Amino acid sequence: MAHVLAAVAAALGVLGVVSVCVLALRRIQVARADRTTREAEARLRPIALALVDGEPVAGELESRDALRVAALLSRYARWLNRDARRNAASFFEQLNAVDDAMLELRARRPWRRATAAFALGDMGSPRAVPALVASLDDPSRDVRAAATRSLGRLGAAEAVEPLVHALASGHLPHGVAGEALLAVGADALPSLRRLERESDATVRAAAVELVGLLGNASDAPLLVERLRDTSAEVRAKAARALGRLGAGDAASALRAGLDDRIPFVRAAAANALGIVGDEEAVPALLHIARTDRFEVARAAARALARIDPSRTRAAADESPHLREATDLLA
Amino acid sequence: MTDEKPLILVADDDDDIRSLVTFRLERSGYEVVQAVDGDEALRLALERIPDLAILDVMMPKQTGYEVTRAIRANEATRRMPVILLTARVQETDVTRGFDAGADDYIKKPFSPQELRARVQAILGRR
Repeated sequence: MAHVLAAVAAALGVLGVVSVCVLALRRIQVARADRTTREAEARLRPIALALVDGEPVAGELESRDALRVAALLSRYARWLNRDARRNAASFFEQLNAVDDAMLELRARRPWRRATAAFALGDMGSPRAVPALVASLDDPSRDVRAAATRSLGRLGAAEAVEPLVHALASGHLPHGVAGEALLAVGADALPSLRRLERESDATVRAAAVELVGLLGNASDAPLLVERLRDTSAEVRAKAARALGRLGAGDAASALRAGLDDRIPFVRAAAANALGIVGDEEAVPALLHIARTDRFEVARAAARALARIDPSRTRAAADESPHLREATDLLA
Repeated sequence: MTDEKPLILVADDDDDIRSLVTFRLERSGYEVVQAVDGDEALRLALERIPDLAILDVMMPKQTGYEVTRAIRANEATRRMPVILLTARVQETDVTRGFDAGADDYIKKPFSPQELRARVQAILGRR
């Protein structure tokens, strides 16, 4: 028995030593790879910076270096406006890297398609947009997400409609799609304004929300129309959007929203009225803060505190929500 | 201006932004000294007295606004032109920058060529 235990202990000891050796070797390997990457970046940084400035690059880059330059350009792209990014795109087009990556979008393995879709966004060539839009229908979620992120990077206004449809259908991760659409920026607005009248309510809701984030005062009339939408989700999002845009002209329509039969629409309307500072809404907000259900009453009390702090303080004892709003004022 | 290259202080805590700005300015014939935070930026501004400072607004230790105010408060540097480089482009932020004494601001994302043009315009006015 003692022999068996000794043998097991020895085996465990050997196993421990082997594990430590493997881990140490792996660490050395990772450190070496990091060093190689750092050295390569230092060597290639002047090339990437020159490309940003539209300077020609002497000689040809081997494919691994081209990928490293792409990674550097991708980091720089965060800080550069579209004109500067265009210079980098021409480089990748001349290198045929854009065509190669578009071919890879048809690869059999999903990870290869996803890698290609991701790289196309970093390369910054608008030529890749149609292929990336087609990849929004890829059977792999990773490929769809990579294509979405890249379409945002490319600021592809023509991708807005398919992106919103894919977002509404749950075909794309909400965060990735939202970020991509926000990255397209104001160029997305013409498509989003069309989508506000789409037959699918989830598409309308997504479009209305994005218009609230990207739009301006001229969007108020369309959003006011959506306050009468058949979908409560759309009505609530329209109210929030009008609040975000500070649309004072929409105040009377928002006041009508305080009578909506769906509580979260009433809460959204109250919140928006607080942001636009509509003094005519004070009596209705006071009434709601005293009588409506929890979320709505709380939203109304907070809106009231924004519009008329002294009236809120005076009514603090009339409801716990008004008390809370008064405390927040302090 | 003498035959010496004009000296520009570039202060930003992001390595990539410093690389982009420095590369463009050096290619345009300027000498560049770099700082990674507000304290270092102010120290270099007082020690080297650059011809112009490009300061990120949101830096560790001291913000671009604070460094600008300190530059303006020092007799040796009070005439130094300051450009703020900022992702914050709300009107109040811009006003705050000018109130602190900045001469100009450039919003991120930016174009290195535009940055060079602004620098040339400011140095040309001196």
